[in-house]
Amino acid sequence: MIVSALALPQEINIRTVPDSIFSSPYLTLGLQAWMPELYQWRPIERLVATSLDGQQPVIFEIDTIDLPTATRRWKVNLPGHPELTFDDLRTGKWPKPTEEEIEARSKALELAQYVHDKLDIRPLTTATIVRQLREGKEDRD
Amino acid sequence: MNLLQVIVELRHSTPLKLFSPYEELYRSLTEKELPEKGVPLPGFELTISEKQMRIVVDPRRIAIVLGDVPNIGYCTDNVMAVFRKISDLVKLPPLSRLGEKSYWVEESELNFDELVAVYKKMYRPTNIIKESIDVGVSFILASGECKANIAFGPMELTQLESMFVFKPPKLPKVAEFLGIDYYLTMEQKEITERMLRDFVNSGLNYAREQSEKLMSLLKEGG
Repeated sequence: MIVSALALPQEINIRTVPDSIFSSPYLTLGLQAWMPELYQWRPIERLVATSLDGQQPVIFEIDTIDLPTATRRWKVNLPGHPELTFDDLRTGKWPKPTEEEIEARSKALELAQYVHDKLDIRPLTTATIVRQLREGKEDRD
Repeated sequence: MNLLQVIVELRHSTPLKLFSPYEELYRSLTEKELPEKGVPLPGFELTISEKQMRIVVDPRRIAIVLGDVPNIGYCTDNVMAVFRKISDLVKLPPLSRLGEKSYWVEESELNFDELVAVYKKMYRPTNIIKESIDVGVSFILASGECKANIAFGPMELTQLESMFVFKPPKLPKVAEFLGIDYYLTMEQKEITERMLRDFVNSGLNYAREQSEKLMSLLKEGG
């Protein structure tokens, strides 16, 4: 891929040469005519790239640091899964349910279905609401 | 596409006071400016190898590089944590620019030449296009107050490797590469935690949308 300097992780330091040294009273050529390797496509708007170039930085290196991240603030405590961390949840790594959890879930679904049938819960549609308002009663057909 | 690197940069309109202690001391004691312009202290660069993170602080900027980017939430969280630590130490000057550069990569089943041919279909088949052996596409898009400099194209392993500050553990031999520099320029705006968090989140969400659009565009073209 042909990459412009703006897409690179660090800015390229292009040598700067004053235009005046390439000029004479009779003829003035632009810098890029003399040094075509310095040619860069220039957009109308002046562009500055997001960069990590430091100003002659003093460089340090360390193994790790303790940052006040959400991982430190939030402690995950999921019963049956002590190994689970906040980072696991954030990256979508949910643990596989245990046999007991699968059994408990199916029992909960059965119970919910029983309650649903017993109470005769049906969705309240717009048509039902309009009819109830018109007829002034709340019973369901 | 997979997000493999993020750089967030806060560029300041005036130098951080941390780097001009003599000027500050002189001003504080004499209530006058230092007669001769002092030489600022050099910048600071800290690489945290386990976290694949680099923090650059110099008189005019703070940059945070993340080489391990499992998801957008992780990036925002770590950028905010570094920001909090630095702003606890020193008051940050007003901003002139906020930028977030992210790199996205998708392994290609095609070889490099075939992938170049797919990209070339985006152009009118002129002689130059027909003869070209490589291609890179670059656009500047607007998104509300922000702008995004978007560059994409095919890449081989050697070129891919040169793009990353921390070399990812596994890079494909041929890939579709997308670099998005999402930025906001301003005149002397005070930075707040909320503003930075919203910017980092919206920049990465915008970049993810663009990566999805690019992939569907290439599928249509391929």
